[in-house]
Amino acid sequence: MISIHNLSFGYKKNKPIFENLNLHLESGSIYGLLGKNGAGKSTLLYNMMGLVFPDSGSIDILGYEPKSRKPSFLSEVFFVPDEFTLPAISVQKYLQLYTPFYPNFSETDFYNYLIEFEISEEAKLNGMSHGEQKKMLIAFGLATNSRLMLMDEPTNGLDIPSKSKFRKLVASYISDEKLVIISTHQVRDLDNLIDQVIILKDNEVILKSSIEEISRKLSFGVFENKSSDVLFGEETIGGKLGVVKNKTNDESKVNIEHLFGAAMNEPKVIKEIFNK
Amino acid sequence: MNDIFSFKRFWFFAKKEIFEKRLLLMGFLCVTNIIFLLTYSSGSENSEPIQYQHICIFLGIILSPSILVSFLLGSFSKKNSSIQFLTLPVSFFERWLVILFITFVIYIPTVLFSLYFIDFYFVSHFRELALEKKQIPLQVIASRFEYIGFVMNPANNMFKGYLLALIVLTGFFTLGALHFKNLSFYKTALTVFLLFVVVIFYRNIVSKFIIGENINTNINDFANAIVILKDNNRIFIASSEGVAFAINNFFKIILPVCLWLIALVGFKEKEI
Repeated sequence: MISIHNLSFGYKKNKPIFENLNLHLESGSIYGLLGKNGAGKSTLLYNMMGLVFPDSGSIDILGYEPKSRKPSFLSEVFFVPDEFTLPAISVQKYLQLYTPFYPNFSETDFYNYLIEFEISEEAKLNGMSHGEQKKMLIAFGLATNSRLMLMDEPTNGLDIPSKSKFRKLVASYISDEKLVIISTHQVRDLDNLIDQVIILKDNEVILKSSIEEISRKLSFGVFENKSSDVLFGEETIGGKLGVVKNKTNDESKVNIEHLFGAAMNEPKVIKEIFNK
Repeated sequence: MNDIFSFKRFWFFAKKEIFEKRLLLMGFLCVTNIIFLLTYSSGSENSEPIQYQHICIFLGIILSPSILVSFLLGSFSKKNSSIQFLTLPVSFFERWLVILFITFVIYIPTVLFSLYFIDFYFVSHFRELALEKKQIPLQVIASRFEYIGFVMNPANNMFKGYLLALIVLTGFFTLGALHFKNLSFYKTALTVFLLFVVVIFYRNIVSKFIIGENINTNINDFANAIVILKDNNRIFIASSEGVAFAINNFFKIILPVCLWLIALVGFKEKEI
């Protein structure tokens, strides 16, 4: 569904954010795009949406080149940005004005999502808090039934119950034909939601793997303090709570926060483990 | 799906833009009409309506649409709103056309309608007063108190000049809104002003140092000029027919068309 080939991009000529980045993503998955602040998560999403243009290399999404921003492409993708401004109109008016652009939009789904997020359909968008506006935008995006959904820090500004509802709705949204990419630095919010992980660091992809493969190749739990194999660990009473290379066939539950920590601490080791 | 133009999609987009920007449009119409009223109110039966007719045409039909264009594209000045504008499933051609549609099909005709109405009321009123007071000869009254339709006649050279200025200025402001990321209106206004100053300065330099005399040019005639001699005599200088044709067509057709075509490409190539 998404094929990125040798992508190079930078806002300034001497400061590249990506150099020869390659990525191939298939439909039917929810990808978590992780990285520190400034790692290029949002920039990668902007490139995918055609909001910025690659310096070199190519991006192919659903057979389209995002750069050309064709209406047939844009009606198949939906982007929930981190920061946004909604017009000063009611939810119903927003629906009336924006749905004609999305042929697969489901009004029933939209109202169900609003109920789930406890947003009144009568409410005015400019009278809502940022969190409520974000929930409205997420509900609208999900109701478009777009084949590709890109979300940039979608849980920023959401309260704890809303984060859980967000996970529930996104999980129910995914199907074999759809792909969701969620970029975030709040990795805990993606627990039990994503089935694929992409980690960006220093202009490149450190890790791109399924949760299944990660649990096979890494082991998450409490390990002896002395263990030098710990890729990332937090000191606890019983030892180090963290990640080590899985030397047995036992699978453990993936802790995304620890995985992220391991990728930041030991990017070379992580790459070696997953490139085998 | 036609990815360049679909009438249905264009209509939905125009509807959305007009509804979301209705307050901005109404604000512009209100301010413009207040300026019209103030300008006409300052007149009397002794003044010449053509003076405030020209002021109102310049402010209402040239300046305000140029500012409006800049504000209509204000979403490009912020990353947040720019993302939402550019990710809406609409083609670059439709985005460009909507700006033209709102400015030239909705805003300017509405402003013109109210200007004609205000002009009719005030000019009729001043003419009545002049007739009552009988201080001005009837023939002068008939020629002085003409309605604005006299200026806005397409056969009138002045009207052609205004139309050209309108297309060029709105084109510049559209380009400015696409090019400058922040404070695009002010930056464009400054650029246009500097350009204007440079052209006038260049003209004066040329006339003073090369010809040694002052030159007077017509806003709508780029190929001919009048040289004002030191003894105040005037000499009309005309370029050859071929040169005049090329120069006039460049300024009257190629320049305005190019500005709007570059703006069209700008919509296609716009990044956040």
